[in-house]
Amino acid sequence: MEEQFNDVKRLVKEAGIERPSSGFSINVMRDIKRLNAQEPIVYTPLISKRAWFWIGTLIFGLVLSLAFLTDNNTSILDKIDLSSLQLKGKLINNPFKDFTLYKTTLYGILFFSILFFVQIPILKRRIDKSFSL
Amino acid sequence: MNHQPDQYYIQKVLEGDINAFSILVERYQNLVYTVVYRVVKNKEQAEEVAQDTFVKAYESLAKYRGEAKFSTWLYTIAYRKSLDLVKSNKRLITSELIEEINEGDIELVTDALSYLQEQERKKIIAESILKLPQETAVLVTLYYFEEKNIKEIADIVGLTADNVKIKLFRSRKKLYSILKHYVLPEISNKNGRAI
Repeated sequence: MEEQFNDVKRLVKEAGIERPSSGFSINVMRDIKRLNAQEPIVYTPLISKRAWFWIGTLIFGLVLSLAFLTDNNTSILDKIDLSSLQLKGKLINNPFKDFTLYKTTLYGILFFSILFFVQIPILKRRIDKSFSL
Repeated sequence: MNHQPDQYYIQKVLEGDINAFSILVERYQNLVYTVVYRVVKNKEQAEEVAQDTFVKAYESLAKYRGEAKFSTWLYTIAYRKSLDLVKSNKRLITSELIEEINEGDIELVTDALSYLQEQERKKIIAESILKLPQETAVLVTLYYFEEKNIKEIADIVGLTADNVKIKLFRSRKKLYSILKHYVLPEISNKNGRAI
């Protein structure tokens, strides 16, 4: 085998080897140094055990409280004394009591919201572009 | 200063001297890159895979027991990483050029090559090696260029020694078959009949 393949050996030797770009070893060492500098990422749950405990208690409490609520159409709000909110016999003033909505105002709000939604995709594209490499 | 054996630098790296690794990178970058390039057959991707290979080698350096040569161990990582990339690319590069070739044709090819300018000849041979199937290209590079022995190559590519031998044996005709397309296109295009 050896002799017959000397020609292939000569060919392969002649072809030589490929060379990576000049910054190759610098890039490798940079990657390695970055690897060393990196703190290992420790998994931390988004919702901690403590939070889960309180969520659980809350849900459990709500479910339990169902048993104590009567099912005659009384609102829980009826039981709360709102008298403290009353000022001289009447409930908190409604500031919009005398407000009348004109058609012009309505059109204004409508156009404003349309323009607002038109802006979103434009702004989004702009931001995407400025953050892309 | 840089003429110590690999093991010396490996030890230094393990003791915390990161910069000692750069000597190993310098020492093997061309060959690792060549092996990777001949599998993935794309310069940019080859560079990335070769980089990954060294980073991976650095990370697993503590696991390197010195049973095989450092270069063999490194090529094993490089070869596996290259295959992973090829698999994820789903780019199965098969060479359609490979066909039966007889000794007479091989002589013709050798003859035609000898008329070419050195630079051009080198380019054609390199391109022909690149056109070989991935595994064959690596076998040929490791055996003929790097002069690794059959056993080391078998370890790198994960084949049995006999299998490596057979594949190397077949690689000669494959390589000449590809070379024929470069140097004797008028013959191969006419289905073997010269005008």
